[in-house]
Amino acid sequence: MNGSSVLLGHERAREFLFGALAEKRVAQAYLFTGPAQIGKRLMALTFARGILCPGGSKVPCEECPSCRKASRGVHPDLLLVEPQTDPGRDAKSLKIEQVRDLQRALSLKAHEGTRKVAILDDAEFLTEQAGNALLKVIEEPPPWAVLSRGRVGWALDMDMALREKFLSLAFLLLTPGPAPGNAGLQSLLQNFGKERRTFEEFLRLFLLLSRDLMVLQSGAREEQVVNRDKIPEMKQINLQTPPAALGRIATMVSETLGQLRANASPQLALEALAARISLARAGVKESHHV
Amino acid sequence: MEFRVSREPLLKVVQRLQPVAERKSTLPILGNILISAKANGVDFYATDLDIGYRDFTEAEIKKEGAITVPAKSLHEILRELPPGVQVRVDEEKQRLLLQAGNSKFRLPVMSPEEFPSFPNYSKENSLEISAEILAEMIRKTIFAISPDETRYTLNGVLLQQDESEMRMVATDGHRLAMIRKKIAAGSPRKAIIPRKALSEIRRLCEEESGNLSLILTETHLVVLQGGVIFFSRLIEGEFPDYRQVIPKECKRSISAERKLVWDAARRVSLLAGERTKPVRLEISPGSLWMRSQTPELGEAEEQIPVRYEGDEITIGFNGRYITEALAALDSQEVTLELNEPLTPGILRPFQDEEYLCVIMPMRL
Repeated sequence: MNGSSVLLGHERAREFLFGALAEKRVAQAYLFTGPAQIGKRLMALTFARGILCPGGSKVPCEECPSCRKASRGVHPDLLLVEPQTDPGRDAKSLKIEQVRDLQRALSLKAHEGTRKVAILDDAEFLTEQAGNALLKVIEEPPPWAVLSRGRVGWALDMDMALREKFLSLAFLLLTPGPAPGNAGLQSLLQNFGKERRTFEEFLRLFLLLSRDLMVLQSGAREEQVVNRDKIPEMKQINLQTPPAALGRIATMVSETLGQLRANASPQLALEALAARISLARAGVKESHHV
Repeated sequence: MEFRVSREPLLKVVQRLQPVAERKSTLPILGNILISAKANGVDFYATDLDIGYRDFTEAEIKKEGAITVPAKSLHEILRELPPGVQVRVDEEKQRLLLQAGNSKFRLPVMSPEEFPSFPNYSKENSLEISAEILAEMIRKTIFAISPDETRYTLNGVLLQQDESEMRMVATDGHRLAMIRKKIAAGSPRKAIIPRKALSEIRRLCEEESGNLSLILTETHLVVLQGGVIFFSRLIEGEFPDYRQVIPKECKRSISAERKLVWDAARRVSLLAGERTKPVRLEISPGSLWMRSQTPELGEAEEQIPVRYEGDEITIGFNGRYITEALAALDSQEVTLELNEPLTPGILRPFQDEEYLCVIMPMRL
């Protein structure tokens, strides 16, 4: 199986991850979020092969013993933890024992190479104790922990605490054709609005874009931009947007996120946000919050 | 792959490897032994990813090759075969065919490609050490290793070598054991060796006298003993700076016969509570009183003669730390060095700078 072909549609994430790998700037922990079955795990596994592959220019080379072992699931330095079905019940959970086992495995140095990777799949099934234990594992670096999860779940404060420690990567549903503009509000709603969680992911991504826009505007080096593939487009947006508006837009997005958590209707929240953003870009100052 | 070998050397090798392969594991292939037939004999390799063994036996090689088979079945078959029988090992349609006398066994195989690689090492940087000394160093430090898995850097012994000496240190945060031996060790290196590996190395040391070679790589400790190669993964992270725990000098020095102190400490500890086992040491010129007192268990006390000239001092220690340190010592006499009732004490062999145990006191 060729990893890259299956990862179609996630070029942004792929470029971001492998860019960091090429520049030897791989973060301690990544959080992959997004709906189920859109390629988070595949991306995590490909990235893991890349980290572990001793190859030269192209990683993962998919040919060396390390890559072959990793794709067969028998690489000693690639640890994959998944929820287990509780005995006698249908419910699944990621238990504290599993996190402890992971911690134990990570406390030893690598076996095949010099690096280790841990992937935690479906992290929304973490029990509260397991989540707390995980926070500690991630703090103390046996290096490289790459975690992915289906949806954002369990207690909000845990979610926030974990997010603080991760470099977060949102995976979106794939949309055919170019990304929708302001006119495509309806299709945007269809794609993201139905499920509150996905909509939240979208907003987080939007926040990340706003950050990039501000980074570009401030004249910082382009390496500091996360969505590097979109730099030309972002420069164009920056030309059309008053400098002061960007910060306000970012604030609006995070306010909308807060409203969603307070159970606002995704559709109304998105419409209100779109209206406020248009006003902000037109240079109109808000006299009061919507 | 095809070779012939008599049962005994084969059984000896498999017997050593089988316990490593048997341990429960998430990777099914780790239950297997990797068998590689080469020009002059057969290599056998098993690992549980924490530790691993490679052993070798000479054999009549018909065809070179490699294969992995379940260790448990292979071991049980060899054990049941009659002594002295010739064993023929061959591959047959994705099976390992094993023939001896009139018996035939076919075992499922797994691809050797999926087997974990054997760590790379070079003999150039090896450190030669006598089995006896290595066993002593392990015995005198292993008991102080922390069982607390959340502090994983303390779950092993620090092995530190520099130009003139080799040092092993273990601590659990309450006590510390350190042993130094004058061994020309070459370039300075250090690593944390897990407890499990130390127990295995100790067993290797007891098997055969003579020298062993230790090799530290980036990720592994490799030990060569005769034809056997043992390896263990090292523990991640930095061992805490132990030197600041060891008192630079001690005002009071109390010496006594080790057996007397040890016996008394064991007896007095019996009534010293369940968890922290507080034992009170009352020291005055010529005399050491050990006392313990727990409301539900009762009281115990014992006096032993000591050589001590200074002023009176009373200090509390966990009885288990005293007895374990004294058990590890093998000298005729021991010295207890103290400063104040709430500063760490040192237990060491009388007039011996090679070994010491630092024990944190308890507030009484």
